Amino acid sequence: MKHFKSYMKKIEALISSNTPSSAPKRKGVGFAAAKEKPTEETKKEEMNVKTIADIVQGIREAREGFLNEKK
Amino acid sequence: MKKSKLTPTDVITPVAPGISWTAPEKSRPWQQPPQLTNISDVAQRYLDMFSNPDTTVYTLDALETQVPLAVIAESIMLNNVSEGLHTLDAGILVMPVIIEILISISAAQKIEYTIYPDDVERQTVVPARVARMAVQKAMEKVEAVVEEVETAKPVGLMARKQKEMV
Repeated sequence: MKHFKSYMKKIEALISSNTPSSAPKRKGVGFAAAKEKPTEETKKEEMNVKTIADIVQGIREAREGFLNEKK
Repeated sequence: MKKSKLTPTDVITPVAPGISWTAPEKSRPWQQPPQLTNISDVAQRYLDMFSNPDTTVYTLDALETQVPLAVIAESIMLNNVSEGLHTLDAGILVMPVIIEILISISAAQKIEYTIYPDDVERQTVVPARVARMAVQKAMEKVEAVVEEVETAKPVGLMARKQKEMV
């Protein structure tokens, strides 16, 4: 559950910022820059997390809309 | 959501060690390739699942037990893993969607909920300072009641008459 909480935090951060989490934090050249470059698998994982974040955001918006209508 | 075919007796019956190795290889649903591999398809399946009225009834029953939503979501996800719908990894990725759906159902039906098991523990565990104060107050009340009982005159038919002090 601890790992899942950190995953949820990541999703919350993605929802609040709406920026791609795979974006490199700093630019560089040489070996260090190549090391930070996300692999295909990492990119796919990040895309999946972003998809989930988008779906969660959609559900939240729908819920807020429904609850506001009810009021 | 399907009803479990297990009876209460099945649950407590001991299982022989290594019984899982006696089934033929790839004979179980979770040993087969998953039906859904795309994450958005898995999420869509859960959205469809929860919009089914039959499922909603069972979900509401589960929510009213005050079990944390993460636990309910995990059990639903693991059930689908065992049926070969998706992999465990895909299930863990999709769990936030299930939790969000459960929150929506709870909010719509005005059911109180907690998301994580830790939150329940935090609610139920009383700090030592508060517990000490509660015990002190209780002891004061008990002493007050004992004093009242001691000072109260017996009023029953069989009660002895007290001699009046002159």
